[in-house]
Amino acid sequence: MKQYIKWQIREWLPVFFVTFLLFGIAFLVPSSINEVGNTRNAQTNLESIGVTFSVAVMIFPLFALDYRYKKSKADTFMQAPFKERQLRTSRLLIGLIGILILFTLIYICGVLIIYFRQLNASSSYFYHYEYYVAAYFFLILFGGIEYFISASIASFSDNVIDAIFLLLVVNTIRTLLFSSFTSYYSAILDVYCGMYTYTGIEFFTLAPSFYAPGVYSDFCFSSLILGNEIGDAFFGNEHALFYTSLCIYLVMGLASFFYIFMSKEPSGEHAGSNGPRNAAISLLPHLSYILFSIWFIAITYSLPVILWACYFVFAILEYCILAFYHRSFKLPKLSFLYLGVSYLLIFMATLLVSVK
Amino acid sequence: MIELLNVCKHFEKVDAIQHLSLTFEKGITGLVGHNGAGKSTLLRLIAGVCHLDEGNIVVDGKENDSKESKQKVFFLPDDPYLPMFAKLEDAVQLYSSFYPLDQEKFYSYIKDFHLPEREKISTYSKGMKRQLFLALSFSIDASYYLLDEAFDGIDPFMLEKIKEEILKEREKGKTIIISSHNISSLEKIVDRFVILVNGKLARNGEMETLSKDFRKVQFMCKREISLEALCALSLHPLSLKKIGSLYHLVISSNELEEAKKRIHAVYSPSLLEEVSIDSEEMIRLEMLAAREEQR
Repeated sequence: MKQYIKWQIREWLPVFFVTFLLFGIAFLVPSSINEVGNTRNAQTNLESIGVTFSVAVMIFPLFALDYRYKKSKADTFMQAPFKERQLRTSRLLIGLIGILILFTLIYICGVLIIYFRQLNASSSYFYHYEYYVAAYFFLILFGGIEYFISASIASFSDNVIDAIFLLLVVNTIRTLLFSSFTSYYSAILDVYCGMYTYTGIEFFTLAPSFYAPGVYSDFCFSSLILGNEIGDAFFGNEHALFYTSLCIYLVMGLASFFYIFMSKEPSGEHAGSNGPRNAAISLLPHLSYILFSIWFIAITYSLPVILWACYFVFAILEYCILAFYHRSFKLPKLSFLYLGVSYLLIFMATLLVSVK
Repeated sequence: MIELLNVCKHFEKVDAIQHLSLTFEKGITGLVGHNGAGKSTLLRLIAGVCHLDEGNIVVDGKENDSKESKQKVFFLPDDPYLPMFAKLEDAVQLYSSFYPLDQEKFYSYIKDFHLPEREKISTYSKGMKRQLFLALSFSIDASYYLLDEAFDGIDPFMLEKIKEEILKEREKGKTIIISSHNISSLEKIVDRFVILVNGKLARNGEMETLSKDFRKVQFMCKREISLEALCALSLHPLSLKKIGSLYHLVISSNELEEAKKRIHAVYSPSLLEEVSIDSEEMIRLEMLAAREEQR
């Protein structure tokens, strides 16, 4: 196993190098250029490294699991004399540890750059550096969780295109889960539905916090580093949204962790094949479509003509997306059934809002 | 010894392997069957790449997907993986990270096979790649070698050389299973054949045993004779071919004498004699007979 780990690290060196460069561009460059100090324009640069790190931990499991995405690779790697699950877990851990080391290096260098710039500045103002340390631990904790969530999603697919597709679909579901239904109730009942009623710009800035609290937390820690109160980082119900999403996120992370380390490795005959491995997975694109449509209906409810036009456009779009997923316009019977149910649901939702 | 006990594997609507019980002993076994017969699936099951739906595969008394078993088995798939832009040393590094690999032996094979050492493997021809992987296989210290379509794309001159190397491995007491749909390529090196038809074991045995199953008769006759006409004589011919006015009839061994008598009586051929069947045709006939039986 030791020899294999060495080989795998050598094989991933180019990927690690690119990741290192991206982290550097995201943190070291702005840390050297942006204004640091006691001014209105002062920046901690946590947002850029936070987002880059979050994206990296979402994408890297695709490299870790790519031995299953090609028949030839599966034949070679899955016959290797390792204990059950050892190949998958070792590849995932090599990837995670690699990213964490790169992130730590860049983070320390970036913070040191900011520190020395402040040290050499004429002002005696210093950031609250203890929150840089807190932000670091927060980010690596949620980076790790996000890594295992992405790994467990990607492990349900048998080729890289399907893996990317599944990651997009599941992340859409995670993003829209609360916002779509609460926005919809708000649209038809004309009432304020509390903390999850976000539309438009608010939706795009806050909904991602549901799947990556690490990203949203950057705003919070930035505020603390600059010497503001924690209350200044959140507005209104954002506190509740943040803590709710945090809990769900931790549960998802824990479930993913156990799934990856305890579940049996799928049989190699699926490796490299197209389409969903089981019926439950083929339900996900429909769910994503239903949530997206409901959310869209909610934000455009005042314009019924656009609403109906969108209904038909989305219906065609969903069919095309499914055809892509199955690599054929002739969909399986079960997919047609799901398709019919989702069309009916969206039709009724559109009808309700347009009548209103 | 590799033992298969009631092994089953299904792919959605296809029964790839059906209730297969079989033992692979030391020596060389030719695994033959038509396309889609289940040869590659069987090898992938033994190597632990695919999971069994039913049954058991045991390698020297241990489950085939255990670490101990996997250390003893090396599977060479029909399309093995190599990293992009890989050279020979990259291939060696990858495979030696999984198995104990004798690099000296590997490079001596590479010289024997006249493979370019410094070029990227992606520039090799199909046959050259196959030679490279066979060189890798026999440099790995395993007890069981599963070679899927081992001789694909290899020229006849090199094939003889490779067969010699395989025979040397047999002398060392290794178990080698070679799957192929090209029966002639297995001639002279295999000790026994396993014939798969539609995922079922059709025949299994040494060549001498198999060759006793069928007989070939050639006879010369001016009249037109069809397979149906012979069936009408209460015979069960497996095949009938006409070359000029000479007929070649294949029939099961126990019907041979009866067939000779009836053909003589009905058609009065100017020539009627038994001829030998070569091993390639014998295997083909066994496959044909097994298919007929399954129907």
